[in-house]
Amino acid sequence: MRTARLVLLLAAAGAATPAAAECVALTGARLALTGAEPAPGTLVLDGARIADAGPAARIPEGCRRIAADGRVVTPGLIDVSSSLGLTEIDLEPVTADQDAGGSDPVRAAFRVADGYNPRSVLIPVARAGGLTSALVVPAGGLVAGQAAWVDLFGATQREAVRRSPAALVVALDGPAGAALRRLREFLEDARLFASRRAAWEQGQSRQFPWSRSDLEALRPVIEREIPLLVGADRAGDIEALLRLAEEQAIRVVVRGGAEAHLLAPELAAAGVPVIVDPLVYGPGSFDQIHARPDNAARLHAAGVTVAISTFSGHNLRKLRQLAGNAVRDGLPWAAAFEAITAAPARIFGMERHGRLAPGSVANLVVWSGDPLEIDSAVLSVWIAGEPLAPRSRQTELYERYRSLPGTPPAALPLPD
Amino acid sequence: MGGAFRSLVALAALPAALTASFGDGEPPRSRAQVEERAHRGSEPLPADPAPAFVLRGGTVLTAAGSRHEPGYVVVSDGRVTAVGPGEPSPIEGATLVDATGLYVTPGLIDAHSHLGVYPAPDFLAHADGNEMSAPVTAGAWAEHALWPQDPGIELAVRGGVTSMLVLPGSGNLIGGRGVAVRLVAARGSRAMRFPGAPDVLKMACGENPKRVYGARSLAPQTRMGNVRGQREAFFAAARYRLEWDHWFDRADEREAAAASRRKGRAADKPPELPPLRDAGLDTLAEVLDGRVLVQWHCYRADDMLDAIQVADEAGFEIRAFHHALEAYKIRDILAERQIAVATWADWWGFKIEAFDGIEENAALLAEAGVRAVIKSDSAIDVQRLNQEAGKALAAARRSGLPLTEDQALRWVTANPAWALGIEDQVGTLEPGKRADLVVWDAHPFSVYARARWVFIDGRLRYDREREGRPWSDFMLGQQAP
Repeated sequence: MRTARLVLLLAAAGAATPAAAECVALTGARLALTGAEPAPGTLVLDGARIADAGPAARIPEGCRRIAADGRVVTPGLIDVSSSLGLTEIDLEPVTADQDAGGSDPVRAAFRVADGYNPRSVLIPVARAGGLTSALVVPAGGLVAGQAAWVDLFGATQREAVRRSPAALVVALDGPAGAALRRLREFLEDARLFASRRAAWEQGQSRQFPWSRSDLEALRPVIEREIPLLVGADRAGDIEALLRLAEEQAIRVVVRGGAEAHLLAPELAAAGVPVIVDPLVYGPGSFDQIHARPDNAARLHAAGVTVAISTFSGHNLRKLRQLAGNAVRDGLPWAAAFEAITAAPARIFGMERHGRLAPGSVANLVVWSGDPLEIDSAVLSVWIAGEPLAPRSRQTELYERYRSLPGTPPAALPLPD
Repeated sequence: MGGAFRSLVALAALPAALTASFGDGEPPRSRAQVEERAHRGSEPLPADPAPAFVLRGGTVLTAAGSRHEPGYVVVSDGRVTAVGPGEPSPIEGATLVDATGLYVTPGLIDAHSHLGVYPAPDFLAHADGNEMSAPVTAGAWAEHALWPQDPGIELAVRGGVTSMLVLPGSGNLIGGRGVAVRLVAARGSRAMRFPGAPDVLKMACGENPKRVYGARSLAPQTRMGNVRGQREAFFAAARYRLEWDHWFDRADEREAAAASRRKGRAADKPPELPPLRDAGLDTLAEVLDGRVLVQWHCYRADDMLDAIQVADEAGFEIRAFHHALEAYKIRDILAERQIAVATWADWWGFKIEAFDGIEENAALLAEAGVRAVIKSDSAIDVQRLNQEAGKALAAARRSGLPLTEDQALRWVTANPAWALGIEDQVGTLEPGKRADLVVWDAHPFSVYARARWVFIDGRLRYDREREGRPWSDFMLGQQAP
């Protein structure tokens, strides 16, 4: 059987798209299996899915073999607090679809998936950095709206959006007591609304200070289908949030969590995951006075599920640097890598993402070395089993200006 | 530049009796005296003893073209006295510090910081970095806003930063003076000043000033208005400088008139009044004299070319463009003009003038012969400037640009030193330089590297194994976890 070399394949990436359901085996790779550091193994793809992965992976008859030559192959990276595809340029409101706006701080029915732009030029930039999925989140207000899980692939929302809603996004801005009071009232009204829906339709229920669609949007939260994704840094705010979660029997995920390490045992006991930025160190805000560089390490050691996010749209490619810094400050490598792959997938009910395991989505990255190390490069990114060259508007700019003057182009010859 | 400034420093060292005879109530007799008066301090400079020591056994990256593996650095009286490969010959009285398995670099220099002027936490009352009461505030000094208790200063030292340029923000066309400081604990900012460093002037083009003032229906509202505002500021400065030069030139004449008056000659004229002082025009006059270095916030290539025209017309040089995400598009022109570029490794896209940022910016500039600088402009990224330089190097190599480790290290050491005008004092590991050293536990471009020891002027200011109470008073008594 003929074995292609991975590097050769990469040169032709994009042009040489494997046919649907084609079997491809990456042999001689170093695979980052969940919970472990990269180790030798073979990865077998069956079209858009992973068929097998590991040192003893079975390669079916007739499967196309590609020699990975010891390259590190990992699941694609996942950032679960992003504005990717929602905001093209932060300071230009015409490019922004992240904030529903308006004077009502409750926008539970606002779905960012409807404004997701799969043609955003930010997406190829993120993908070139090894990202293959993101949770794109709304912003603004107390209840910002519904987050969506997207794969960084496809020209339509239909192809890109894999789950919506994937979470309901809340921010504890201002006095936490005031925010939590409103939330509690909203949750209780939503339960009442759900149980008296018929009476409400006939005008035989009391009126609610929330719109019908906002009340309906809380149903999957109340039924624990999706978590409330709550921005909070201060330990006291997180503590109050844990009380709300217990009392309302809802799932919550903490986003930010600069001081979460102070409540690590409580978060572990409540099974509440935390999404952190390990670079937030130092009292940047008054709510972050106790931020520590080993926040992620301490949370992990206590048994808390940790995900790492850039909380950005333009800087997703920094995700691996963030994870590397968490390792620098005490988080085991495998836990840090899990925090940007399998853990965020698990948190948002996307268990077939973020893992090199049979049945998982074939979202992969091939690296020149340790993916968390600065001098490692992304060699190729595969989404749903398709290799994509790490190209973007930025690589085009680089090529245009590789030699000067770059622009303007030379004069055209006269027409015939 | 350097010569004129040194004379100013020498003036500061004159005996008190002599300087007192000038009397602050007296009109100044020279521009140097104007500056000397404005720079006097009341707090003595830190004077910890400077031990003699030898760092041996580690990999020494000099940022001056050499890598010694292993190598040594000899420090005495706060200065580097020798650097070389292998083992040093024994030096009497010097402590031997074993750096086996560690990496030694010059102290990092952040050429663009707002630490102290936008300190942490981000209290409203601490937002002291942008005097946005008028688009030209050349008389405002970042030094007068710099809060030495900013907890971010110690965190920057832990990241291996030993000097930085603290700048006013970019809300104004001309924001005011910036100051180069040592990252040492002090009660006031003046004691942090980098000895002998020139002041700098912060200018800004593009979106920020026109957004700030446009939103208030004031000038500038457009890029046209930006350039007009900057040109007119320097028109005024040129006139002001002439007026004062005229005044300084006639010191002898006035002395003679005063002497004559003292002798009671009634026919003499009353004392001549000096021109009206203006703090902003003092600053701009210093720019025109070449003693205050211009640091210009500018993103777009065409904005930078406009800025160069403004400078040419007014008759000053631009020391560095900052941010400059499109500098790669005009790197030939920047190289020819010897304008440094202080940029980020990978920030982009947050505004339209930042939309064309590419990761190869620093590398393309370096390849073209421009002094490229990687700076933070961030209380977070200043804590890992080494990683930022590493990222820019990795991007270069990925794209096939043959940059060296030494070149990339210069982005955060020798090149920012030049941008700040302190290149003869710091930025490389060479004999005679101030002993600002960082000893890392892994290659400084590794994401896993941490500073083990940080020396400033040969004094150990940070030891990871011996972390004590926080430097900042603000952090004292904050409940420990």
